[in-house]
Amino acid sequence: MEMHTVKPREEAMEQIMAFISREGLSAGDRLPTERQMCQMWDLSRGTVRSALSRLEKMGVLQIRKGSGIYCCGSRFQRNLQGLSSYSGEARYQGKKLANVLIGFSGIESDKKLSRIFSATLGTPLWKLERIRNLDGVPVQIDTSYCSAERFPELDRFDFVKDSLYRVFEEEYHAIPTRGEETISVIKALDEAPLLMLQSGTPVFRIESTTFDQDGIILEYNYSVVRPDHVVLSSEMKIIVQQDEEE
Amino acid sequence: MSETISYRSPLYLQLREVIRRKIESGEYLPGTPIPSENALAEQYGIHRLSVRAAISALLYEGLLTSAQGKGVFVTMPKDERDLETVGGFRQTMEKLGHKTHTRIISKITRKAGEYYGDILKISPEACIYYIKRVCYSDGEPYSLEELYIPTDVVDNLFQIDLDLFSMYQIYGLNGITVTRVHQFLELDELDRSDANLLDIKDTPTVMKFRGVSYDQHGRAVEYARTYTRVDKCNFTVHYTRKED
Repeated sequence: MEMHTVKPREEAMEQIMAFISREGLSAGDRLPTERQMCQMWDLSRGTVRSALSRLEKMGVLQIRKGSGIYCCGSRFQRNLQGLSSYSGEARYQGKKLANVLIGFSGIESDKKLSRIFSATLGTPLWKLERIRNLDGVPVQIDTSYCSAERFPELDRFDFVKDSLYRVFEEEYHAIPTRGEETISVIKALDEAPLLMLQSGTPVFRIESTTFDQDGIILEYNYSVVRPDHVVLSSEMKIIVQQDEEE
Repeated sequence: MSETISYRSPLYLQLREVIRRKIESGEYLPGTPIPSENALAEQYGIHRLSVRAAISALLYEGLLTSAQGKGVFVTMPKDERDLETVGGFRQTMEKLGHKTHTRIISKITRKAGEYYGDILKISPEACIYYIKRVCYSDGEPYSLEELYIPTDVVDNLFQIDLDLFSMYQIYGLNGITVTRVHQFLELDELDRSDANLLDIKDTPTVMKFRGVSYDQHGRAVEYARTYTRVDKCNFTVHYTRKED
């Protein structure tokens, strides 16, 4: 079989990424200099530079002028199918989560929310807005809506510390059971400053609806997520490939 | 946060939500033009630059599309693709009623090397196929795919017409059923040359999926990276509580 050599830039990228995982480098760890990399892998300066700039765009490393090349470490993985709480996932991945409350009030449903909750216009809802900080960086703006009739006095809980799902489950016996989540990409505009991003930076928008054990809607959530700090993950399982029979 | 737009919000954000609502409610129909910049500026008594900022945000989200000299149109609804059933590009898109084809940019046989050897759990000296191709839906570039497949998985892959048969069909013929894919979704910025392949003119930001596919024996059979245009589709996931 005829074997091809890989394009120099591809090879340089693979070498650098393999180096990071082999050496077990994590966030803030320093990589060899450009010159050292050229020698280590017998690559030209231009090739290494081009590979580094691509890897910087991919969020693998950061080039600080006059200082060196630093590893960005692994991003927070948000499992899309989990139904696990943010705090639980953060703890599991060794990241420190802090919530900042930016708004918690009773509102009346508008046309869109009424449709989502299958309720008439003006139905009382709770609206809870939080910023999620991971290791000190604001990574997500989270807006939750839930029924005020079903969850009376929800505002007696402190959602800076508490998880909404814990309160649903343990205080109101409403168990988040299944849901649906839609992911798209938008440009951050009014939400940019809260996430410390420049206006116009692309971000994930995640809209999700969660139902309880009786199939009644528990929560509608609207989130804007910084893609440079969070990676979304999902596990796909099969399914019979009936279409392949044709 | 479209929900928090109020009368105090900047005018362009308010107008963005007005246009969005008119699209959602069907007042502006898919395929039809929205009023001109001048008309909108006059109607709402705001500056043309605010109108332009509102429209540009919706162009980016893919709700609107602009045609040189013809104005700005409401796009057809985005494809909703779900993330939990495994299927190749072709199978998925054809189910949604689209015609597909692919164009190979590069296909070679190479050494796995340390990086891909580690991902695919094979020796760095082992051989892998590398395929880079553009996937089209109804004649328009939709995604760019890079596949890394150990040569042990499929014999003589390059003698098979990769446009005629999907990878899943080819795996099937080799007795392989893909049963599990663990994938990650990130945003990435394409190089200009790759952005051109997808016909992306301005910001080359794309959704990047990367993941390893495993067969019925738990063997890694493919590592794939797929770059998808952000204006073409939304992805949906259904989740259910696991009983432990």
